[in-house]
Amino acid sequence: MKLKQLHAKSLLNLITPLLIIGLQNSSHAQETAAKEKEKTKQKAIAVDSSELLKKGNTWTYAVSVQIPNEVKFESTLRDEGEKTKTGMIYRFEEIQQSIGLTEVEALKRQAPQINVYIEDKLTKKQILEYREGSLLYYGTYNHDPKNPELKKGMISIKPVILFRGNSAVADKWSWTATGLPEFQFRVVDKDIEIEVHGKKYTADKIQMDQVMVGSKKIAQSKEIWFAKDIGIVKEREKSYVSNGKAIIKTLELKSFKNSPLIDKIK
Amino acid sequence: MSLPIRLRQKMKAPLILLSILILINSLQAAEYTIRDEEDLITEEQEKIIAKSQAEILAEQDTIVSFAFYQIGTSKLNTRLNWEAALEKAKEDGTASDKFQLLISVGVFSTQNTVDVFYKNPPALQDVDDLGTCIASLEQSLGSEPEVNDLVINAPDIIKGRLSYLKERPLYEAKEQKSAQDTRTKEFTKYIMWLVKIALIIIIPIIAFLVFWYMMSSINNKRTHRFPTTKHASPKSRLGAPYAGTSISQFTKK
Repeated sequence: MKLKQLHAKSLLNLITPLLIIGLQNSSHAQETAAKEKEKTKQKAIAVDSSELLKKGNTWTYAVSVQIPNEVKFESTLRDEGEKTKTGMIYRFEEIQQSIGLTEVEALKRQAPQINVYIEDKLTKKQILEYREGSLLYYGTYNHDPKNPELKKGMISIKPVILFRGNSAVADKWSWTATGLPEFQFRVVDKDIEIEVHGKKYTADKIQMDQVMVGSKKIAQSKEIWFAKDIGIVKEREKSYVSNGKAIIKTLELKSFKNSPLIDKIK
Repeated sequence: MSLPIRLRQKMKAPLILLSILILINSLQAAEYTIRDEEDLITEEQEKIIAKSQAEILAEQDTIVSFAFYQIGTSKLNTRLNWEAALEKAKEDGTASDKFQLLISVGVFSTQNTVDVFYKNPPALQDVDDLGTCIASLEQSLGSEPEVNDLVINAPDIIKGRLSYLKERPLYEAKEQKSAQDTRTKEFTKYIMWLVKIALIIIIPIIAFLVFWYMMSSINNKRTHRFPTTKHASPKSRLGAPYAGTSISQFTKK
């Protein structure tokens, strides 16, 4: 009898620690899984956690576009353009205004919509988010004047990070999609002072290159100056065409304020 | 006729200062160059370029040389000249181990062409990174409509890319260190977990063994009384001399 009791006791001594380990592990695993789920939940829900893209915020840019002679361009702009030795320069005003949250079918939730007006005509609608100091671009709907409510365009579930809030100089990130060039972003400067249209801003400078997969040639490059809580204050975009030439588009911020929504849709 | 000793002593200090100034100037002349044998750029444009070269050297620790050519020479020649100058500097002992760039600009009426050559590039983990930056720099400079646009915008275009290239090795080293620290931390955590498990299993086993040993010792120390059995001494038996067999005969008295 005593021997049997001894055996039982010894078995209990062996099993108990194993049980304890098992319980601990399972509780730790559950805790980790719960934390991950919470993180994912938070990321999915945190839509526009700042004031930057709130309804009515309006950015007015002075734009100049240099078109080389080799490129056939039929202008519909009011500006007749300035003829130069190498091409034409057109100047106009571009207004970008946030209309607030809108339902985005591809994302299965709401996201801020920024309408883009060129010379008071609505041309496109961009889907952007400003989350934890980072500016995310999801895509663009082209505007159809005959059917203004129609949302037709390309929206990506995985956003293009135009600006990363907690980045340092030499930080690099990229966005890829099958069949498209690779968008490479590099932080080249932080907290630099830049004067745009008489106003001084403290901005970070990002270099963006669209690299063709395979050939490694650059299809487009962009220099972006981004000021915290204001947005893009200056942008210089080069879309390369044949013979090494490029269509050069420069955006310079003239004003940033909250305004009533622009109703003119032509 | 030799100079008087006093005069020689008086001239010593200014002579030393002059030689230092000459040395500094010669070193600076070897740092970066602007080659424009066909007078393709104006003096004003040359000043802008020189200013940007000095700024890039001071801020990005990089030597950027420019060479403009049209019909008098070629892209290949500008490169060979630059490489020859670097070789000579190496022989003279004035060579620099800084990152060196040559921006070779072909100035033509239809389109400028830009080629970028380099020496002593920074060591980056991603081999393609440097290539992309240089290609981007070449395309961006080459797409400037006219030489004047190139001269005015070049400083900004070059500084941006160089700033990234200069900082990238430090950034990568920092990332690597951070990754290493995380790996070490995780490994230490894992080892501690293993030790914890081991202790949880081993200690009860040891405790059990000690307990078993103690119980066994107690048992062994107790006095054991074995029962006594009656055994008869056989008078005659078959087989062995001792009562190891059950076959025995007893005589009745």
